Amino acid sequence: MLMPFDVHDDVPDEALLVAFANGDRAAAHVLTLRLAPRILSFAARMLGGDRAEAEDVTQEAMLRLWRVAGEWRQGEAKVTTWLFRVVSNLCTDRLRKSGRAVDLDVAGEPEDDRPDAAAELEQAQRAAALDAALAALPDRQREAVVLRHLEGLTNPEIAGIMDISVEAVESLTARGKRALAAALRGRREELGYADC
Amino acid sequence: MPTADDDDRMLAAHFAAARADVPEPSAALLARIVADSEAVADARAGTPRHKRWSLAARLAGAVGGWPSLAGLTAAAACGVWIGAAMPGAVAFLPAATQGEAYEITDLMAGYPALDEEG
Repeated sequence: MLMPFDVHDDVPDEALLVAFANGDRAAAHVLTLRLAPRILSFAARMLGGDRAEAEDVTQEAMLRLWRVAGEWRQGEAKVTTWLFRVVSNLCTDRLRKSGRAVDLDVAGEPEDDRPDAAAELEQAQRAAALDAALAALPDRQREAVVLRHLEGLTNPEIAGIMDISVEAVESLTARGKRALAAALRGRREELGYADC
Repeated sequence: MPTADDDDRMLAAHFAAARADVPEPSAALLARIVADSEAVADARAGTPRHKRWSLAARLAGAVGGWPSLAGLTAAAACGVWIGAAMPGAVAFLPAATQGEAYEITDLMAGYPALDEEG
């Protein structure tokens, strides 16, 4: 039976996945709209801003989710944690195979005439500057920092995704944050931090 | 000289800006993901995506694939054409078969000449 998308708003990801496995195709549509932006964002940051490759990884991760739906047991894992782990592995494989150089100059300056454009531009510049600094981090530090501070996962969840101890997660995020601060310190005034 | 607290505040502001800067997936990507989900759902339900073709595909496979089926179709079309265009050519058959027996020359008029040539 097909149901309007908003009927699913309060349904957890895990229940939607089981519903999809039981034949509710609309559940997959809701999951796609709910999860694809987060997965794409994480993949893009893992891959140093390569949007096309991040889209490929997003599609592949979601395909694996559809395939595993039939064996999914509610309560055993969170869909987002499982997906982040898949994306992490896919991105790590691609980075390892490509051995790519990181482009540090990714901060753009969009033009806009709206009244709040200045504030939005400053926010966009801060996000872009952070992305550039993240791209320069070692892969594991970048992954830990993104999962902790951008995706809001707990350290135990990150430990599960990265297959390391909680202490190792804490170490990676601490070192990552120190490196980010060092990279961004020189741009404080440019990015509107003169007051802090 | 910025302190560690200054760095923390600066990073917190950067993280907040980046969290608000979630990329919008393209319509094409969303369509591909949904198409994948439909294909997986079809496979799970045991219903091929082009079910209406499955019987024809199985028939074609049974006779050796689509090229063979094309040959059969051409032969059938020729049969229909021959039947419609040249009914007089086989008019001798009723006459020939009305008796108790018929010679090979009733069916193959050129046989005596062929026989003479050896």
